[in-house]
Order: sequence, then C-alpha cells, then structure tokens
Amino acid sequence: MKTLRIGFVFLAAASLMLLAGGTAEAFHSGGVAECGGCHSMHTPKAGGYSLLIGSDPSSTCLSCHMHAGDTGPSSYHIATADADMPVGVAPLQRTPGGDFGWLRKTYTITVRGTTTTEWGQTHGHNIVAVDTVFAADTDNTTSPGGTFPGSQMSCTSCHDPHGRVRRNSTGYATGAALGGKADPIIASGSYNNSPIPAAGQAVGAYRLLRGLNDASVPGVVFQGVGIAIAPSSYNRTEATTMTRVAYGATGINTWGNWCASCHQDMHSSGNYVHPVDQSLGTNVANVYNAYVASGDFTGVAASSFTSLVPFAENTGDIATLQAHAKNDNSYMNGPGTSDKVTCLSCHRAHASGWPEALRWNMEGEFMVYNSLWPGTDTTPTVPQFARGRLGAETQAAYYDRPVTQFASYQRVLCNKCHAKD
Amino acid sequence: MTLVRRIPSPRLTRATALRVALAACALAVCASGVAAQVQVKYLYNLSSFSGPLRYEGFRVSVDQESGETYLIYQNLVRIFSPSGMETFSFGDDLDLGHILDAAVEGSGNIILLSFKDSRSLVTRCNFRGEPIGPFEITHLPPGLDFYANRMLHRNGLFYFASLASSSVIVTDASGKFRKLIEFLPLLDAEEQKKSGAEASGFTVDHEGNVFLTTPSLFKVYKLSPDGKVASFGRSGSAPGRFGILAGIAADSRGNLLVADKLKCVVMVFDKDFNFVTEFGFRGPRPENLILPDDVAVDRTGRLYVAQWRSRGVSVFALAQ
Repeated sequence: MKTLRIGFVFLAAASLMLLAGGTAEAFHSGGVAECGGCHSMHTPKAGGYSLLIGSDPSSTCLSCHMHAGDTGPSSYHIATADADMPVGVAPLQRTPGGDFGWLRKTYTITVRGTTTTEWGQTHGHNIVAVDTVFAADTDNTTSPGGTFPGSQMSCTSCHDPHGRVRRNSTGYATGAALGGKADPIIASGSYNNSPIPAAGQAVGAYRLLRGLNDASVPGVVFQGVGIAIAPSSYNRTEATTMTRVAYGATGINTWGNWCASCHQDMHSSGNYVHPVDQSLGTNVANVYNAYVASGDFTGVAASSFTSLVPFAENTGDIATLQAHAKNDNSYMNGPGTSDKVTCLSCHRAHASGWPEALRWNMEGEFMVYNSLWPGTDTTPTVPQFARGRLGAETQAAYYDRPVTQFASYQRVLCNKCHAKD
Repeated sequence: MTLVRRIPSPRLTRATALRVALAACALAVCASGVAAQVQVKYLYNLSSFSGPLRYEGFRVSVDQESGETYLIYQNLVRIFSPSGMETFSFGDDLDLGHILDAAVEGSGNIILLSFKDSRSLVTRCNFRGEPIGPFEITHLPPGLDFYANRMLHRNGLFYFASLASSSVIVTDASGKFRKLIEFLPLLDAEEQKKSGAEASGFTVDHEGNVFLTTPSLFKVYKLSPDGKVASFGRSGSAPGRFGILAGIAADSRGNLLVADKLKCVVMVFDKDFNFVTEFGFRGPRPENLILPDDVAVDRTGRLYVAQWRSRGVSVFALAQ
C-alpha cells in the first residue's frame, strides 16, 4: 500500500477529453501481458481452457475489451454491451476495426410488402464468446472462401494474445524457439508514437496479429505479417476528423495475403473475385484522388483520402506509415499508382453496421437520400435504403460523419475507385 | 480526568516470561493482518413475475433508505423490493437519451444520469419516474465540462464519475459544484501509461472515501476526503489477488466488496485493505458467479452482483 498526499486540481475540459480517449498501450505493451490478467493458476473451480477462467478465449478478451456503461467510443473497448444498445441505438465504439456490437443488431425491412431480416451475424466476424453471449455464425459454418470452422472463431484466431511476432530494427521476427534468441519486445508497435526499436530491441506486431508462419490455429498458417500503424487515439468519432490507419504492403506482407490465411479462395485470381493486393494503377488512383462525392470529381490528391475507403501504401517503412497515421486530418493524401487495394479497403476487420462487415451499405444504390442519412424516421418512403435503421443508426455506422460530407444523393463508395456516378 | 492505578507485576518464571513474550509477538503479528470474518450466504436472484432476470451488463444501485434496488438495462430503470421482486419500471419512453445511472435523494425523488446529444444530463424524477425538472450542475470551474457515466448519492453529496477518465465531480445536494477529483495525475508515469486512464469500478463509502478499481494496474485506489491516496492489490490467482477488476462497493462497516471478472469471485477486504474472503467462483450453481461486474450493497448487508452470461443479478447476505 502506498500513501501520497494530493491536492485536488482542476483540469480543462480539453484535458478530460484527451484522457477519455485513453492511451493505447495499456496492459499488453506489444507482447505477452501480465499472465494473471488472463490466466488464473490457483482459483478453485478453474479447469477452463489453458487455465483461462473464462469459458473460452474470446470471453476472456472481452472481460476487458467490452464494458457496460460506456457513453461513446472508449479507449480499448471493441464491443458495446447489450445493456447500452436498446432498439434504435447503434453500438458506441468507433475503432477502425469496428464494433462487435453490430453482431447483435438485427434489422427488419419491409419493401413493397415483402419483409426481410438482416441478421446481426451478417455484420462481421462472429467470434464465439459464451460469457458475453456471442455465438458462432449459423450461416457461414466455415470461413467464406476457406475451411476454417466458424465454431472455432475467436479473437485468438487472428490475434496472438502472447504477441510473439515482433518488429525489430531490421524487420519482422517471431519469438525464439528453444535454443534460439529473439530481441525482446519493449513496447507496442501499433501506433504512430510507438518507439522505433534500436538494435537488440523489438516492438510488437500490429495489434498482436499472428504472422510469420504461425500455425498455432488449427488448419491455418499465417504466412506474412499485416503491416499498419494506427494513431495512438483511434477509438473516436469521425464527425470532424478521420482516423487514418496507415496500412502498408511489401512482399508477402500484404493484407490480402494475411486475410487469405482463412479466406484463401477469396484471393484466387481465377474465381472472379475483386482484385486485392494489386496496385491501383494510374486510372484508379486518379479516380480515387479526384472523387469527392457522387457527381463531384474535382478532388486533388493532397486531400482525397477517406477512412471509409482506405488503401495500403506500397511500403513497409514504419517511419513513413507513422507519419501518415493521423486522426486530425493533417495528412489526407490519396494513393499513388503503386499503392494497393486491400480487403480492408471495403471491409472492417471486426464488424460494421452493414452486411459482410462492409464499410458502407451495399444493399441499395444510395448511401445518402435527399440529403438525409436514410432511416425509418428520416426517409420512410424509401425503406430499401433505411434497412430498418433509424437515421441516427445509419450515421453511427458511418462513424458520425455529417451527411453534408456527401452528395445529396450519394451512391455507394465503390465509386470512390470506379466513378460510375 | 483518568485515574490509573498501578498494579504490581506478578513474579514470572523465565519459562512463563518466554511464553508471554511469544504470545505477545504472535498477537502483534496477527493484529496487523487479521481481518474480521465475514459470512456470505447466497439468497436469490432478482426476479420479475416472469422469473429471474436473464440479461447481462446491468448497472445496479441501491437506495440505502428504502432498501430498493435499481437496475438499468437498455434505458429501462427497473426497481426491486428488498425481497428481490420487481415492483416498478420506467424510462423507456423518456426523452433523456441513454440512461446510465440512478440515485435516490432524501425526498424520495429519483435522480437519473443520462447521456444525450453528446453531453451528460441529470434529471430529477418523482417516485414514479416522471421527470419533474433538471438537476443542474452549477458553479463548475471555468473550462470544466460536466461529464459522467456513474453516479452515487452519499451523505448528502452527489458523486459523478467518469470511468473513462478516472475522474469524479462532487456536488452538494442541490448540484452545486464542490470539487473535482482526478485520479490519473496521482499515478507515477509508468502507471499512467499502463492504466489507459480507465477505471472499471467506482464507489464511495460512508466516510466519503472514493474508491476506483483499475484493471490494467490490478489495483484499488482510495481517495480520502482529506486528499490522501492509498492503494492495494496485486495480480494473481491466489485468494485476495486480482485478475480483472470490475465493480466495487463498500458496506456499512467499511468492508470493500470487489468483483473480479477473471476469477469470477467477489473479494471482501476490510477497511484496512486486509483480505477477508472471496466467494462465488465460476460454475452453474446459483451461488456461483460468471463474470461478476457491477456490485452494490445495502445497509443491511445485502450484496447485489450483476453478472454476464445471462445470469442477471445474484443477491448475497453478508454478515460479520
């Protein structure tokens, strides 16, 4: 026990808000965290998986990463509790990967007399977390384009809670095997303020993601690593400024390659799938940079970026990516011709407000209708665009952006690269 | 004036003196670490006429005067009698935004804390849950915005906590600002970095001590009214060690009830932070706990534990 003498101080609201955003390095520090934070060696009635007292790995993760009582995006929370999401209220978190709470949001849509249901489970990766009542996907019993069983989908399917993959001063490496050595991890490597490791040091891989031939998930081998840098404050509304994660790509270390660890057929060039990991080329890069909104192609490369359609920079240089990972719109450059389209250009990694974890609504032609976010309350005459949501829920799915950022009849953001509108 | 009568010492043999000395030493050692025993008994789960509640993630608070329990879930405020049956509910048709917490003031009015249009809102309702006016937070220092997601009413004061920033605004019963308690500046640099600035549980005891649980530091912090800070806790799975800290409550004796989501227990510490006992543990039986989260205790020693995995709120009796 320690005792300090303190005085009560006043801080400006701005300081409070900064604190509310939270630091991002808590607990994991880029690698294996304090063992007692997840495992319990001696608690009676243990006997769960690997001495995790939680029913399963994801339940253990969500013990910290899901919290009832939040009022908005909060630090490292990546799922909104049911208690905070009554009907008509969208999930609260705004991480670049999305909010698993969307998996609980089921909508009913009646269009021209026909009622359909958009099940929550279509909104993202259905992690199995029994304690927090997340269940396996009942439609996709295996990973689309692959064979990974949905019943085994877990946070640890993608993230290595022990964070063995690391980035040292020369590149990426995994933890040492018996008889070997590896540079120790000194801190998280996920952020724009993460340290650059000196010789003999390493930082953690982005988001503790698996990689470098990690085969510890049965049936899955993660060949490369996922390269990215996030702003240190990343779980935040994008009402005024965007949260730009700077994705990188080099060699086999591409996001398409990484996601293909489970979705391999999505990556096959012979299966009529959208290209991924391919350079945008002159035409697409020019379109991206010129596209402002439906009908407005007056943009310029220096301000064309949108976090609703991110791309991977054709580099693995961390200093470059750290300089580009911003949350204040201070770096808004669009892609060059050699930058790449990735899975994450269209999908969020965890879950989104739309089917298939897409970043925008692909279930209708209009994202914005009559200068309004579609909703059963705002645009009741076009239920096909409202999709059973309130207008506020639609806006939340776009991370609170004002509708004025888009055309009055904005069409889907495929057009950011393809400009057919 | 106190009179002290000098009593002659009895003659002691060397062996007796040794035994007395050993006993004295043993007593001294024990006195510093021994905590009073607390008996815990599972009573029931909070129920409606449809049966025990089966949701998770409830916010739970107790009206110390009436012994009624208030649960908040999806904008519905549900009130339970001391025997654990739901007697009333309200809130789903109020235009107050996201209802976060409830407290009862001396007159019986219900104070609701909510979040609407990007700002915190405090509303005074009558005993039927009908809004009768705003509860204005006044005399805030320049530059300080009012924000909170937890609220407690203790000893005539209101405590509004922001768990995300680990800060507490204290007002009097009329809402007039008294002070701001900021937790983060009290930590050293390494702790600040690790903490993520986030508390998981918050309570105030009857002496006005403010307690916060910080899961990433495995610690409970106590901030006394005189400005002193104390903390306790270590990570680990042995009895009394912390896994993932969640809610905290203080009973009328000053005992601290600390929920641990990883160990699936509620730990009891006395007011000097000595570990007393822990109970619950993961399992299917009624007295087991799964991801115990929010906790509250009434003045009779009834402890309310909100859990996950659709296990609702379990009620225990604490006796000392």
